[in-house]
Amino acid sequence: MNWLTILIFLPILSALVVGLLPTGAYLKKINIAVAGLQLVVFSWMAIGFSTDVPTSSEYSEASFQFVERANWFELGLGANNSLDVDYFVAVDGISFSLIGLSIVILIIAAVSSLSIQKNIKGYVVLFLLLNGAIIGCFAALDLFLFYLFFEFMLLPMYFLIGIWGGPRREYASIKFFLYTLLGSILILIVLIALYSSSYVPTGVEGVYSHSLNLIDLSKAANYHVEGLLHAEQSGTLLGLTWRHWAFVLVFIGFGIKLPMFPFHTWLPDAHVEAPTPISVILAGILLKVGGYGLIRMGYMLFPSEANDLAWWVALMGVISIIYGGLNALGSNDLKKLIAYSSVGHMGFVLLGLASATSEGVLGATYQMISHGLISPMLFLVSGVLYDRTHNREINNYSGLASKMKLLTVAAVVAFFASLGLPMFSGFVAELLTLLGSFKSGATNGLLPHWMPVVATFGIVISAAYALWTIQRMFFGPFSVKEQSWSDQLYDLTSREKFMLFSLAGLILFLGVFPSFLIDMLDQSVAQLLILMQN
Amino acid sequence: MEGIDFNIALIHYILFSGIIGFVIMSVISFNKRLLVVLGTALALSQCLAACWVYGFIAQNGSLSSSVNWITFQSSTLSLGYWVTTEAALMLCVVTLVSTLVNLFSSVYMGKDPGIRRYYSYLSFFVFAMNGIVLADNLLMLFVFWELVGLASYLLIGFWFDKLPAAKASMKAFLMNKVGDVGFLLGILIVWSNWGTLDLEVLKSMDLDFNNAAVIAAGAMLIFGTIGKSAQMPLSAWLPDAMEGPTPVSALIHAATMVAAGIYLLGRIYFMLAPEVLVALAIIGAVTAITAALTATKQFDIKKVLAYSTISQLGYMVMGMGVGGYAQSIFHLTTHAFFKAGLFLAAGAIIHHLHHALEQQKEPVDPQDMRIMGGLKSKMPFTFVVFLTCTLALVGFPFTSGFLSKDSIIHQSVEWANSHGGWTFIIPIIGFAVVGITAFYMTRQLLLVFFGEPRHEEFSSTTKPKPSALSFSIPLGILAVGSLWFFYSMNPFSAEKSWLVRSFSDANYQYPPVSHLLTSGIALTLLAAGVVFGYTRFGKAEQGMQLDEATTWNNRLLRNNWFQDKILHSLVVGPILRLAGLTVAVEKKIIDAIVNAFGVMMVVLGKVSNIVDRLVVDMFVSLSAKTIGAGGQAFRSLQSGKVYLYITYAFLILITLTIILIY
Repeated sequence: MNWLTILIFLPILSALVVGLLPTGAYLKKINIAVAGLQLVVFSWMAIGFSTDVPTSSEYSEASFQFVERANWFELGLGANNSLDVDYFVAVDGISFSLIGLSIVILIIAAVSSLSIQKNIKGYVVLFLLLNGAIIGCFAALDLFLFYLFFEFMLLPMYFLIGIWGGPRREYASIKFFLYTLLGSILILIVLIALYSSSYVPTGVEGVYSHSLNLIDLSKAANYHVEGLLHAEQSGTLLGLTWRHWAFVLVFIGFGIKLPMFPFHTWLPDAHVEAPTPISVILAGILLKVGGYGLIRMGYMLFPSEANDLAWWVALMGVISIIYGGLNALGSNDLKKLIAYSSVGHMGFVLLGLASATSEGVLGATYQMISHGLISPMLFLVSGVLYDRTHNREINNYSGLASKMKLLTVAAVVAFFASLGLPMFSGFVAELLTLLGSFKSGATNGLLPHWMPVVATFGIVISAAYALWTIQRMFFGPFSVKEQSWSDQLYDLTSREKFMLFSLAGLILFLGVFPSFLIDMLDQSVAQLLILMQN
Repeated sequence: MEGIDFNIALIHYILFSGIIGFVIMSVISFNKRLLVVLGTALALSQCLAACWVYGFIAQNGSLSSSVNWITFQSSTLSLGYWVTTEAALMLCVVTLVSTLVNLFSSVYMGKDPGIRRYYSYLSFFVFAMNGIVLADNLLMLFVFWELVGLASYLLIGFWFDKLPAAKASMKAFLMNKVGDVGFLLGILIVWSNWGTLDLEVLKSMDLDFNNAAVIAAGAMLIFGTIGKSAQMPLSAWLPDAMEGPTPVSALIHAATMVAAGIYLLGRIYFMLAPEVLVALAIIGAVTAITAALTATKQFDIKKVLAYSTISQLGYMVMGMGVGGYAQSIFHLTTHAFFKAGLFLAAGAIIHHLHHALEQQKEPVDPQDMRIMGGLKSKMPFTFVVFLTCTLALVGFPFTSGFLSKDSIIHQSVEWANSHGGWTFIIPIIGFAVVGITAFYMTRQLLLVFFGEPRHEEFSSTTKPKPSALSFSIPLGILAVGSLWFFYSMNPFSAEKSWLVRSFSDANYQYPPVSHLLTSGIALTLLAAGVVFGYTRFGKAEQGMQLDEATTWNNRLLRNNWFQDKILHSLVVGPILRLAGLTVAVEKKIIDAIVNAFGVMMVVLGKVSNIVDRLVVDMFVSLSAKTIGAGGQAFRSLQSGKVYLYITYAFLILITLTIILIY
């Protein structure tokens, strides 16, 4: 059996097993063990992962590794038509590194979940299902399968926020659900259009199938001449061809997940109400699903349309950077601040992708991994405080450094990583993104120079809110709002140390030795760029 | 060449021992004595290695070596060394001052519970600073540029439980960040135009100064200097940075880090177009005179020195602008010694007063010159050191400062001579600052060391304990290093100075403008400054009264030209208001739309519910069963069997998708 399949179904099967077991605190340890086992499998795969996959003029199965493909179901549609849905999983550098990120974050979140007390069995089952869906989503190369996993992440998330969340959990979870559902519908529309336009020879003379296989769909020859999404289709709406519209829908659909201005308002609410481990997963992984989906479904299937609309994509990125940063600056709730900082940082992903340069696209993917580590660390810092006092108002704390030395170290590391200090992974990502988006103006002319220039203002803003938060909460003379808190504010427990400092270690490692990850991404990004530059 | 490998190994040692020291000192808890010995020995070994490397480079020419950091497709971002004579010299300066500061701190910080943190930060700073010095490309330079910013942040905010320290550290980092972003934009311009960030490669390209991109790149890169070297308009952070421990002010905010901006200009000098140089000359001159004027009205002993540092850095930037590359680097070197000497001497004074004042009921600020006076007889050695360094700062003959300042002013006169017109304003400012500097240093000397002690506590206390060796050794070395003979055998001209010669043309000659004339004018102004200072502060009380009066010029200068206020009302305020605005937009517009949409959905649901009930009414018997079953399902959900619901949802989803496909 394929290793990827094991990674996907190990948690799902475990969920079934856990469902049959009696409830108890030990289930939380099973949860950690499953993610740990996945890490072992992943490490084994990483040893065998080739960073030197040759690129070619178009995608083929050879562009991917750990390929497993089996016919799932086939529906005959008329005489010479059929719908083929495959169980088709495989990874390239981009999805492989995202799977690695997911497993790391899932372990951290599983450890963080040890403090969950309410309805343990339900929690663990949902957590495991979410785990499987995430890995499946990153591994799937058949759009049907991808969509299935994509939607399937939504449900556990809804309940994890709605049942184990804070006081306004219902509002937050419904908002999250509706927003994401809206995105899903847009993606579904494109999915159906792709399905109806695809026209892939099956090998049998004169017999064609409607494929949802991403590799097939990435080739212009596999579209029916009269299909809506055929490259030469002349029909337009408001001056844009149908393929352009398809890209726009995909862009908005995944932009909601990313999240991108103005479709981001579910994020602060969801984060504020979600329990810490779920915030960690949300920020660390689920946002990346948005970026990854945009790359896979948007840029891989509609590369030239994406380039035509690059200006708009980058514009949304730049607005997100500035708007997210300003909102973070204006937030008084620590978790809300971190949530808005995510909006700002994920804006760099859009800016980098839009540039269609090696630097920019590498920077965008690097930013996804980097933010996937930094943002969870920030949420864990806020979780530590919330666990002790059940309060996250920044102004209610001052001078925590005198009382909680290690937490201060962790917070300073996390905030400095977030503001893009060199030696931390965020710097590499933002540097590459800016190099690429600035170069774009001089080489392929997609982006005007003012966009990266405005984005650099975002860097100053993020430095401002990060340092201001540190100064207000951790420095100065010690004081807290309620007298009783000062006894509750003990420093990090060994569990918290493990979570915070292992993330810090990874952030530092990726900041000092970026080639470790860049080598993994480089050929896959190059392959994508070949499509985009055609 | 013989010995290259050995020297590269030494350079590795100089750079990496800093970060290793940082890690070791922050992880292992040493006892205090061992910690101090370790820190000082580490710095000393770096210093010796740096001197060795300097000797090698001076004989054999520059060294370079690099490794790939990030490689993608056809491009490479590398990390590496480019050790020129300037770089080697700078390494010596940094590590020597750091050795002395490490030694000095052993007593100064000896009683502080955070001394381990302090020493580890110092080690980290030296690592970052050496990285700037060694970097062979703009990216690596930028990386370490930001890291010294971090070191500075951590050390300014060393006493983090003091609110002013915490605020000062944030201000320093943010204002530097603004400059750094300009620097970063410069890097972007270079990368997108020439596809490399390697300084040697760029230098070999012989960039065309008529190319707009070259001008733009230079114009953005110098923002790094403006931030780090506290030039106008990004200079307001440096006075606040004095909240850090005084030895740190000596090392970071006087001798080395703030001079990194000048060093950067030296590194990228070949990229600076004439227009950019003119801008530098103006920025430097404006900074030099405004900061010098501010220094004349300060009462905090460290603040006077801080503004003096800004002013001297202004000289260096101006020197670079007028084409005095070698002269600026020379002044950087001499300034590092005499200014570090001044700060450490001030530190010795503050240390002494701090202990003398410890028993006071009301807190008295030991840095306030208004309570000082008469310290000459109590701290004679410190006085001699302070006096020597002051003479160097004001540019008195037989000191290093005379040589270097003289050469910058001389160059500026020559430059104005060849440009003509308005450009004469630059050397005129240069001359004026000589007089102002002499004035404010005379004022400081008189207020601190002469006259009668102005605080009853000091008049009663006897002499302080004889200074510990760890105070007197660094002070003595820095004072001796402020004299002329180390730099040039001729005390009146730097023309033949080995230091200037080692990084400029071998045939370097002073520009033809009469050297005697410029020196003469400078010395006359110096004397005038001293005399004016003496007439005003010979009787300290009178002078202080004049400075404390609420006249417009006192207020303007004591508040540093209201830079903080301007900054607040023009930058910080508007940004915070904008942030408030976006928060309001978020709540009142975006979320309102989303919520309205939600309400609409609920209304629709209610409507369909009513329709449903009408239909249900028609099939009563059927509905009873349905509701019963639904209630059952709902109850089981309520009782927590969530996973059951998931199974249902999953089944429904699969059914739906299959229906969809059919």
